[in-house]
Amino acid sequence: MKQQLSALMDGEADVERCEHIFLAAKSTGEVAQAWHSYHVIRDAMRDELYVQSNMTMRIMTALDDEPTVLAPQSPVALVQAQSQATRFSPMAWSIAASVAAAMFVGVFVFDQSPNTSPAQIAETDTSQYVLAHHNNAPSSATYYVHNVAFSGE
Amino acid sequence: MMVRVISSFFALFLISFSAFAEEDLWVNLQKTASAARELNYQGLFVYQSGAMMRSVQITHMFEGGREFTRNVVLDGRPREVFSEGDDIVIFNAKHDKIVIEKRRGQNLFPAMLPTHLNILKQSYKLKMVGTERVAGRVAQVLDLVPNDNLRYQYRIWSDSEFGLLLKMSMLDIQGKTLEQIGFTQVNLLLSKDLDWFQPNIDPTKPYVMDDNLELNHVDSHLVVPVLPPGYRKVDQIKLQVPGKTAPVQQLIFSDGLASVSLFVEPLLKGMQPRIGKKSFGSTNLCAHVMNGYQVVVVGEVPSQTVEQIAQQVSFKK
Repeated sequence: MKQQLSALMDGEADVERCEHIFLAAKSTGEVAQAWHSYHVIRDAMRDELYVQSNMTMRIMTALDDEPTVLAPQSPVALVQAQSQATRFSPMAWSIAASVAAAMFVGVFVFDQSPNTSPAQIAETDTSQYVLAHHNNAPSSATYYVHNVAFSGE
Repeated sequence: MMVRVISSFFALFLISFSAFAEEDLWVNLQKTASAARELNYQGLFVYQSGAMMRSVQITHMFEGGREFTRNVVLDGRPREVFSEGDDIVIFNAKHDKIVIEKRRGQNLFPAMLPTHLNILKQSYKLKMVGTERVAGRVAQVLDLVPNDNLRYQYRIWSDSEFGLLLKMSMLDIQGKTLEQIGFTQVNLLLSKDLDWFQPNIDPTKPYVMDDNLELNHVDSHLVVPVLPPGYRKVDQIKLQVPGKTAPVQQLIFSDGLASVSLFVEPLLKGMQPRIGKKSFGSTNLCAHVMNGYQVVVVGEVPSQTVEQIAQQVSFKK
């Protein structure tokens, strides 16, 4: 089944002739999820495939509307729930912090300001900035360093 | 008299000769900057920073005026980086799912030099070091020596035949290597087939888009009137950081090779202002408080550069 879906996604199979795949997809949540994953991947890789992704949405909606005995979990809702979790999860920042913390060699400078009472910047504060810098600045190393930052997960 | 005329003529000749020689080296470096983008190649390279090392498999193709690259990180967690022109897509295995991240154009190895080298000429001098063998190829070795102490030195190994950048390292003022990245094996590709331009798919895992990084490119009241020489602003982003109510502004500066980020956020009630300096490897960080704002500057640059930028932040009324 997954091979068939994969072939379909790769343009090897004809969408019109694959009704049986959609029918099968209705009954197993797992395949529906794979189907959705393939589209997420394709959308990320190629922007011009938006037409096909619209088709996905139509199919997914159809799958949702169709009453099925096994009542698969809606993959659309699932993905939304997951992306919601990533968006507000402090995980990425805090975990990266704990790992990068070990790598830092602190050099402290005392600069007491009279009106506020600033504290020395701690490792847990700095790594989030280092990570954001690596993510957005035009430096190449970040893609390979990243694994280290997330290895504590 | 005659001797003086001859010697001054000779001196003049030497000066113009050395200027000419450096100009020649810049032409070579321009070839290197273009080769990484225009050649079709496949290879393995290693990135090393401090005790950390990563092997990466790269395939690069220039086809129909478009650039396609696939980087497969071979160490640690499975990770693939695809780029098509300026669009970068990263497949990152995290826990039980694959997170797909989208990024903007960056200088990925071996295309680490800017397309236009004029910007580098303001801040670096180019010096010939010699020839060395890298990844089975004969390489011309060049040094980009900074004109000041506001950036590190870079050493560049380029293929003497095709110009491709084979290796690059970053050195501190004492000449100690801070980080390096280079091919261990590289081959030119003859095929024009793009069938490699797709990720290895794990059908057992769900793929999700990472919308953690909502990048809004903004212009705000925030300004840095005097940047260190050679640096210019390349981007400005508004970041929504988990656990923070106000967005964080990120300004990115670059001299063509070195990059620095400036983060600014309002110090809201209950927030602990932070100050101080930190460094690890080639990265330096400086935190500073100004006009009720938390200012943090980070970059792969010497500490004086981050400090100077942190001190120079000012706000338009």
